[in-house]
Amino acid sequence: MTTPGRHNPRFAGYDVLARAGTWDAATSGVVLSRTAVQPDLRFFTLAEEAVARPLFDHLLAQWDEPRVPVLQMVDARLAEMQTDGWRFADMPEDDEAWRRSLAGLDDDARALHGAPFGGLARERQAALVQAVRDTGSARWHGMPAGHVWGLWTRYTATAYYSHPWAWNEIGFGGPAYPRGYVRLGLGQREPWEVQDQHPVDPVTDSEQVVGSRSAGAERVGTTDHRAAPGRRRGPAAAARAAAGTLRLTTAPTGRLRARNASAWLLPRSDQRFDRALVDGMRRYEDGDEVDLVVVGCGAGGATLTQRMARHGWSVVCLEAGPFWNPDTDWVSDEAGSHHLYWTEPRVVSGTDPVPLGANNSGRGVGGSTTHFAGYAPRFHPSDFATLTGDGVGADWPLRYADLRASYERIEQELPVAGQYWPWGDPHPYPHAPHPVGGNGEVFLRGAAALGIGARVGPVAIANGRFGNRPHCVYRGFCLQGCKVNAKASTLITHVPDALAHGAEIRADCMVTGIELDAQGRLATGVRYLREGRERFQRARAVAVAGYSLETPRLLLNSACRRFPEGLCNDFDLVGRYVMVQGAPQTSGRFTEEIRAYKAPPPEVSSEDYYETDPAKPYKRGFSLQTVSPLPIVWAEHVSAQGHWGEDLRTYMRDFVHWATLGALCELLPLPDNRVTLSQEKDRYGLPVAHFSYSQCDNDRMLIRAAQTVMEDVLRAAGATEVITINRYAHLVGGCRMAAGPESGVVDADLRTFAVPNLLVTDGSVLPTQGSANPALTIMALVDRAAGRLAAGQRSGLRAPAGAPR
Amino acid sequence: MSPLPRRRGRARPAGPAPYVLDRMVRNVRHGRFERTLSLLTAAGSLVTAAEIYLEHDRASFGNRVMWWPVLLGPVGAAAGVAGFASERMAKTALPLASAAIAANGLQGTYLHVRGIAQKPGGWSMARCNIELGPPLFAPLLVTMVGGMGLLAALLRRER
Repeated sequence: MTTPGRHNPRFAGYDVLARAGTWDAATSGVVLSRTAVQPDLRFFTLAEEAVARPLFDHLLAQWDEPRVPVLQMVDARLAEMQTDGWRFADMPEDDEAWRRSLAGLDDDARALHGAPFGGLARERQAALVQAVRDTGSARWHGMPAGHVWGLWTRYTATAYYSHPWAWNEIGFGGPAYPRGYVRLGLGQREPWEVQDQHPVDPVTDSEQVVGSRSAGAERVGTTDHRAAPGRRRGPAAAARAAAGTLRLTTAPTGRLRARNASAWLLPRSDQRFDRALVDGMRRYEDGDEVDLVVVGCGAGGATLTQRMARHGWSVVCLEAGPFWNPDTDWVSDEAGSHHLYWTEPRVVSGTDPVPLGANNSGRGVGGSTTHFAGYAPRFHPSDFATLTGDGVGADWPLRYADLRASYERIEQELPVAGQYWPWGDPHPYPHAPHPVGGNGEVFLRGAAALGIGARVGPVAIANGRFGNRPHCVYRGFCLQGCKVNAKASTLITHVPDALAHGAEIRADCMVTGIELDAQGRLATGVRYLREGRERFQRARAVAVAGYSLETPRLLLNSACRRFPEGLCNDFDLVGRYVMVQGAPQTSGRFTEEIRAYKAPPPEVSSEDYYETDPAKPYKRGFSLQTVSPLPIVWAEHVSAQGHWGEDLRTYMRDFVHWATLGALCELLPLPDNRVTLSQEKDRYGLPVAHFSYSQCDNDRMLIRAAQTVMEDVLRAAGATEVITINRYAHLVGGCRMAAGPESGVVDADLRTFAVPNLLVTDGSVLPTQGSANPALTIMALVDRAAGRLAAGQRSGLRAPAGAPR
Repeated sequence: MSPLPRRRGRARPAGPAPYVLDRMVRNVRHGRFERTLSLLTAAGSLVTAAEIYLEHDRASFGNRVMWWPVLLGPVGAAAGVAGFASERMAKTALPLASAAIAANGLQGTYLHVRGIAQKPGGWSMARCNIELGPPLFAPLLVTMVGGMGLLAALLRRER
């Protein structure tokens, strides 16, 4: 029952550590080590420690023993360089930024009070910390103060709220595997969870009645909510929906299994991946000229590997990260899942720089699908011609109808669960909608009150048996890698079948360049690094699937005599039109206990605002979805409001009362939002990617509108207080497809215009991004391209045996 | 439920029984319960199948075997009604359909047990997995309906 400082008025008697017996071994190891004796400091010097220790106490208002050992935890991260990898262009690397900012704070103390920071009275220290906070975006000791503040709060809050004592304080359920949650919904508690003793909002002190809509009454209706035009209702539509669903649930699974048997190739035992598939994997020599080499094993790469292996091609897929074993490599823990993200160095800049990491990168076999939330909506037909229809964005070289069959195939393979989908091209889903937790209930309630259409789904989480994959256990750690095998990732939806059909997935191989023949006409293979040695894999065709930053970077790094500005970059298009979705998240405070962590974060979504509304000043739209931040991400939400110290702790103790919605806003593709090569080199000596991003006016209007609607929904559901954090999600574009080489890098079949046997098969080919999560569309595009590639059969270069490389 | 209307021309059992209830009690005492139990089996099959449809739809018919009890419902209903109408059917179609339903219930029990075992944690977290997994005893209720039909076929027909 330990809590930091032994204060726990709200969840008296609650002890998350009492549940440690139900955690899996990998998770227990990671979490329990935080309560053990911490190692000595290795990164901070004595002088830095003297500043950091009181600074951390201030940031987290830790004044009494026992303290969460934040100093030691941050020190260990920095000593082991477990950073996020990316940095702002105007900031040094994280370790250097820490040293400089601590020295800066000490300098401030000496300049103002003539004494070191550690020797000042607590009030004077607090004033100095607050001064940094108030400096805002202005520079402070050579760094933007806002970024320094972000660095401080990010590291300290991550350390603090990864500790089980902090979970006791906020009533969080902690790790949940193999045990999931049984009792979902508002006010529902497991037998071992403890009720909040003081459910009144500590900030507004509101005594509001449960479910009342009075608090936001004056605001409701201000945003002119309306149902999406053209949506069919009535008995005919209902009958169509029922018939479509029945067709999917009665279709024999044999056909699906004959196409992709992955779900049946997984073990039925308590293991999550059949290691025999890896051990018995076909292996090619570097000198073997394989039919296809795929760079990257994420959503696009793994799908292409599986499809082409099925077509009888010899395929090698090179993946920079490891071949995950979900049982031992993944944990039911936020801070312990850092290794799922791409943490190689990158630089971000622009007027709206995009932080990288958790929600826009992936690493290892499965790529970012291992930790994506699981939302799998289709794009709308209007997305494929936004330039013609709305005068913004770009037209795709294909139509929605070209992708429909691929969408259906992938939805069955994932499989996607949800209600009948009335938006865009109406369609049923193969799996039934999941039961919703408190967060989903709040969204449904608020949307119903405002007349906004909201539906459960579409999520790529099995709701029922699928092959040998079990049903979801509602453990809420979708974003940390699904240890149940219920949530789809290409590691379990396409990799097993690819391996069973003779593909090789070569993990821990970083591709450094694509080689062309002497004339620069066709690709001959890729250079890659394995265990520090450079190797060359020959291939008759090459597909790059490294996502929107690494794919352009690889092409730019593969410059040769024929392509001096970077491979396929004759028209200066590689790396341009990179898009992120504006993803503001709004949280509302409810007197009831929401306990959003108990169900999968993806539950309910609405696409009522997806299309352009002629009555609005902006083009295109946004979608709304539930998201359920776990404690560390929730601390980011609270910190983003400027709260720190005691304020932060107060908001955080209220964790179980907050419901959170997220929007995905279709930000427009702009040529200057681009990836270039930085001056900085990575550990392999290759220039790292520099990603510059700035919004346009349409983007800003969209994000504001989405925030207003989310605030209204939460208020209509009875929220007493709402807060919003502005952030981004997903990354697409960078090698966009187009009708011709002057306007894009690849054609509708994902082949590059410049090199006929070079393909780009990931999200970087998207010309526009819609307001939908991109994973399903990436996989559908690759499914279609694979069919086209196979129809053309092996048309790549065949080098004579023994020819010099 | 009244076994009326009865066919004319049948020999009536000895003794006066002016009320329907009396006749029913006498029928039951003499093991003459075939038609009523056939009809009960028919109704039980339909209700069970409807509930199973909803439950299995919630689980997405992930294993297509989950359609079998749903399809066996109308089969049991038809056999039950046929057994109610015709003695011959009550001795042929009804026991066949009922045996299939009872067997399907046993198969379902096996599959549900397997489903629970294959949830993360398996039997080591029995309480959680039985509560959250496929309902352990529900398929045995299907077997009960099938057993009812089998029993009906063994009984004597009402007079």
